[in-house]
Amino acid sequence: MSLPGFSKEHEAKYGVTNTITIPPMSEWRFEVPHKNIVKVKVTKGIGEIFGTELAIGYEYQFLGVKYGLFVPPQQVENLEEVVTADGDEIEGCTVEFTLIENTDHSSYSSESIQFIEYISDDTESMKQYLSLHFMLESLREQAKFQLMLNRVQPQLGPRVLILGNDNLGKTTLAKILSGYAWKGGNVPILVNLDPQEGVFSMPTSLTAVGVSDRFDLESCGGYGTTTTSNVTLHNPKQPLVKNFGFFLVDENPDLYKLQTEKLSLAVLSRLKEDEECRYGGIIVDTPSSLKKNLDLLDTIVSDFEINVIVVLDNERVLVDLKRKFQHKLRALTIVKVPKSGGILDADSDGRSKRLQQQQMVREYFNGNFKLSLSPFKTEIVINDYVFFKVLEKVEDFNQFLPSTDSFAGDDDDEAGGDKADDKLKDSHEDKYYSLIELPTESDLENCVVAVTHLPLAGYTIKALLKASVLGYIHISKVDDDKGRAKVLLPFPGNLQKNVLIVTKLSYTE
Amino acid sequence: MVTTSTIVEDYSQSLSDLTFNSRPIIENLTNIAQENKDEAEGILEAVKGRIKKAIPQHKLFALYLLDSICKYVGNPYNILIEDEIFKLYTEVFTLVDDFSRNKMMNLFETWKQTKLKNGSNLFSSLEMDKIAKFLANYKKASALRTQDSKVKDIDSQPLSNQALIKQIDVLIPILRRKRKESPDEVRLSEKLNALDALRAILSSQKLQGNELQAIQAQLRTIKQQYNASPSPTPAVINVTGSSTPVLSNNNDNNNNNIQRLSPISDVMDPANELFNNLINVGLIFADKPLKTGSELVYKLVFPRNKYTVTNDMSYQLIAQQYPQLSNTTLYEQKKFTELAKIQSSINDNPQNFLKTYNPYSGKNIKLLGLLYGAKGAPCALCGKRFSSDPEGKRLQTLHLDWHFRLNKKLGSSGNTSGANNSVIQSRNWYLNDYEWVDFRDSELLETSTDTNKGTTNKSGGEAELPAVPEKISYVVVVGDLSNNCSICREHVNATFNDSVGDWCWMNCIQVPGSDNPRKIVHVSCFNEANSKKRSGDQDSPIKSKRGKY
Ligand SMILES: [Zn+2]
Ligand SMILES: [Zn+2]
Repeated sequence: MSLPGFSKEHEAKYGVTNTITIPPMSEWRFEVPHKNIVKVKVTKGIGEIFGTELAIGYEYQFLGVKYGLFVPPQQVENLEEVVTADGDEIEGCTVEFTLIENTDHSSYSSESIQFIEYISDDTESMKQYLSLHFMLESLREQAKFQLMLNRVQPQLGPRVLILGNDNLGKTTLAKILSGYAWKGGNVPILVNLDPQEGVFSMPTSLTAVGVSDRFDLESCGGYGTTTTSNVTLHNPKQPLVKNFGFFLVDENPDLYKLQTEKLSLAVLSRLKEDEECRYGGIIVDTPSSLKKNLDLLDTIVSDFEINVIVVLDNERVLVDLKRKFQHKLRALTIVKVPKSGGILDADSDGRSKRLQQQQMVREYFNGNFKLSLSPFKTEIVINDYVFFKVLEKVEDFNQFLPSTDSFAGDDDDEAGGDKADDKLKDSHEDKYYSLIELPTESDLENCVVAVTHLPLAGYTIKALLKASVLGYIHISKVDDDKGRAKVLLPFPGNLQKNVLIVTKLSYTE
Repeated sequence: MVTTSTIVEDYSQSLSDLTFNSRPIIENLTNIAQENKDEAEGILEAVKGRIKKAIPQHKLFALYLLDSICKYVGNPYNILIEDEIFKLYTEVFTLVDDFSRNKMMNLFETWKQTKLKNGSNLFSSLEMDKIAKFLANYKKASALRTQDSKVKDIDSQPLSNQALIKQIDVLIPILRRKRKESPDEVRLSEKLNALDALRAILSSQKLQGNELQAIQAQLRTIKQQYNASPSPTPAVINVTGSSTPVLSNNNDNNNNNIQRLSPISDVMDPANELFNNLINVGLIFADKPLKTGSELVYKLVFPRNKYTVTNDMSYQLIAQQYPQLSNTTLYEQKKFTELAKIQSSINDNPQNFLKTYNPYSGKNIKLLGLLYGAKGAPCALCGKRFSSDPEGKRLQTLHLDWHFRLNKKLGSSGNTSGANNSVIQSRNWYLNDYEWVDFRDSELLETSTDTNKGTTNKSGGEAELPAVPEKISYVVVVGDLSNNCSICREHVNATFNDSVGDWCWMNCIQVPGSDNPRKIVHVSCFNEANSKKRSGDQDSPIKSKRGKY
C-alpha cells in the first residue's frame, strides 16, 4: 500500500486515538472490516467522503466501508480572501480516528481483511470527477436556458450513465456526482441498476431515488434511510423499488430488461412533472456486465433518454461504445474518466460484499446504531398467500418462442384484459416469474421476500409484471406440517394480502 | 393519487381557447370558478398550468383570467394563489415581450389598488412589495441596456447584411481548417453548416438592425471560441452554393415569417442536422400548437415576431439578462457567471475539457468554491451549508429549529450517536409508481411545511399503522421468568401457555433494535406509544401553511 514519496502508514491499535493531517488535494483512504468500527472526527478543515462533507466535531462511526476522505484546496472556503504565498498556507484537514472492536458481531471475526488507512496525493481521478461535475452543471444550466428560449417542452438536465468494471468505483462516482449535484442546488434522480447493491432498498432490487439531501455516510452502503413512522436524525429519502430478485443480470436478462424499462417510465414521468428534479437529471449506476451486453445497454440508453455516458478507465469500451452509438453521437456524449483511486482488494471483495448485503437486510428491519427500528415477528398461514419465484433464464428459450422484446397487450387497460392475459400465459409470462404451487421449507426458509403492491384478490400476471415493491419480509422458519411460517415484518400488524415474490437474497438472523 | 374531477378537466379544456384576449371566455371561466369554489385548488392548478405552458404570446390572457377570478370571486382563490403570485408574475414577465410587459405593469398597478368586497387587499402587501421591487430592478436594468446599445451603435461600424457576410466568409475557412485538424469533432461541422445557412439567409433577406445585431453576437462567440483574429485576409474559398438552406420563405405567411417545414425524421440527414442545429443555437423556434394532432410549426427567431425574451435578444443577450431578470438567488447568479466561463470549451470537446481543466487553479477556484464557501458556512451540528443571503438565512433558521426539535424529541442530551429507544418507530412501505411520480422530495426535508413529513405513504406506515392484536401476542421466555415492560416499567410475570407449549410473557412483544430477547413491552404500551407519536407532530412549531376552508 505504500505510495512513493507520500506513504504514511499508521499502526492502528484498538482504543488509541490517532491524529492525522491530510494535505489539501489529497485523500485519506481507509478500509474498515465488519469486525471493527472506526470512529472518525474532523477537528479542522474541510473533509468530504464521496461528495458528502463531514461536520466538524461530530464523531462518525464507520464499519464495513472503503472510504476516501478528500480534502479540497483551502481557498474554497474564503473565496474573497487574497491568498499569500506563505509556506504555512497548507493547512489541510485534521482528523482524529479511533479503531474499536465491533462487539455486536462475533461471527465477523473470521474476516481476513484488516483495517487499512493511508494518505494518497494521487487524486487525478478526483480532479476529473470535479470537472465532470462542472460539465454536468453546465448542461443543467443550459437546460434551464432552453426554457427561457421558450421551447414548448421543458428540457431535462443531463441523463448520465456510468459504465465500467467491478471495483473501479462506479458506485463511488455515482455518489460523488449526485452529492455534488445536490450541493449545486439540484435534486438529481439516482438510479441503481446493479442488483448487487442495495440503494435505499435490499440487494436484488433496482431503484430510483431523488437525492434531495446529503447521504448518510454512517448507514450501511453509505446512502441512508428511507422513511419511517417517526423522525430520523438524518432526512430520509423516498425510493421507487422494482424487483429483480437475482444478483446478476445474466440470470434473467428478460426480467432485468422489463424492470429497467418500467423503472425508466416512472423516472422520466417524474422528471417531466417535478420541477425540483427536472434540471438535476438522472445518474445511473450500472452492473459491470452491462458493458459487454451492448444491446441491453442500447435499450437502457433509450429508455432513460441517456445523453451522457461516462466510461471508467477503459479505452476499449470507449471505442466499442463510440462505434455502437455512432448514429446517436449528435445527442449522446461519451467520455472517459480515470478509475477512482480508492482501495482495491479483489480477494476479499466477494466476502465483504456478502457481509454488506447481510448488514443491509438487518438495517432494513432493525435500523442501525443511531436509528433503532422496530420490526415485528409474527406467523402467517402459508396458504393464505401466493408466492412467486424469479425464474432463471432457460438457455434454449428462444428455440421455442419468437424473440420479441415487448409483450402483447402491455398497454391495455387492466380491466377487460382477460383475453390478453391468456395470451400472455401462452407466450411470455413464464420467462419472468413462476408460481410456487405448494411452498415448503425449501422454497421459503431464510429467504427475503418482496411484497408487491399488487393485492391478491383477482391478480393477473400482467399486473404482477407492472407492480413495484411495497416492502420486504423475511421468513425465518417454515413448519411444513402446520403450513405456517415465522416471518419478520418491517412494522407491527398483519401482513397484507398481496402477491409475494421470493428473491435470491437469503439471510439468517 | 389525485383524481381530477370532471369540472376541472372541462375547465382545463376550455382554457386552451384563450389564444386571444377574449372577454366572453374570461367572463365565462370566471363564473365557473365562482360557482365551483370547492374545486378551487383544481381550477387554480389548471389556470396556473395554462399560464406556465402557454406560448408566451398567450400567457397574458391566462394571467388576465387569473386576475379576473381573484378580483371578482376573491376568497378562496386570491388566498390560495397568494404565495405563488410573485413567482408566477416574475416568471411570466421574464418570458414575454415588451408589449406584454407593459400590460403586466399596468395589471400590477390595478392589483395595488383593488380592494375586495370585504375590504381586504387583493394580495398581501408583502407579495406586492416583492413584485414592486422586482419591477423597479427591471426598469433600472433596461434603462442601462438602452444606454449600452446606443454607445455600441456609435462605436461599431454600421451593420449591414454585406458586412456580416464578410465576417462569415472569414470564419468559414478557419473552421474548415480546424475540422481538418480534428475530424472527429462533430460540433465543428454543425457550426459550419449553421454558418452556411446564415450566409444564405443574409444574402436573400432584408433584415432589421436588431436582427443583425443578434447574428453578430452569434458570430462573435464563434470567433472567440476559435481565436480567430478579427481582421485576417479572407481565404479564397468559394462557399456560395456549397449548401442549400432548408429554409424557404412561405410568401403566404410573410407577415409573421412563419416557415413551415416537414418534421424531422432521420437524424443522419445532413439537412435535418443543420435544421436541428439552427434550433439549438436559437435561430429557429419550434412551436407545437396545443391541440393534439397538429403539426409542429417552426418560426425564424430573429425576424420581427419572435418568441425570445425581448425583441432584440439572442441567446447571448438573454444570458446577460438572466441574473437580473429572473427570480434567482445570489448563489445561482454566481453559479451562472462561473459556469458561463467554461461552457463553450465543454460544448466543443467534453473529453478534452475533462483532461485539461484544473479545478484547483487560482482562476478556477471560484467555480470550485460553489461547492464550499460560496454556499455559506457549514452547520456546526451536521455540516450542511447555508448561504448568507436572506433565503439561506431563512432555511438555516428552519434547519436549526429542526435540530432542536429532534434533540428534544429523541430525548438526547447531545448524545446523538447512541441508539435511542425512547422513540419506537418502524420502516414504512415504499410507494407505488404513481405515488412516486407525484411525490415531491421537499416533503422529506426539515424545511417542509408538511407536518406529516415523509408519511404520505398510503399503503402503510404511520397513518395506517395497524394496532397489534393483543390476544395473540407473546414472547417466549429466555432466562429468568420475571421481567419488566420497557415502556411502563411494570413487572411482567411469565405464564405457561399450552398452545405454545412454553413459558411466555403474554400480551407482550419484543422490542427489536436490540438483540436482547428479554427486552419486552406490553402490546398496549406499544400501541399507546404509537398513537402518541402519531398525534405528537401536532405541536410542531411549523404549521401547515394552507389550512382547510
Ligand atoms: Zn445541521
Ligand atoms: Zn407496559
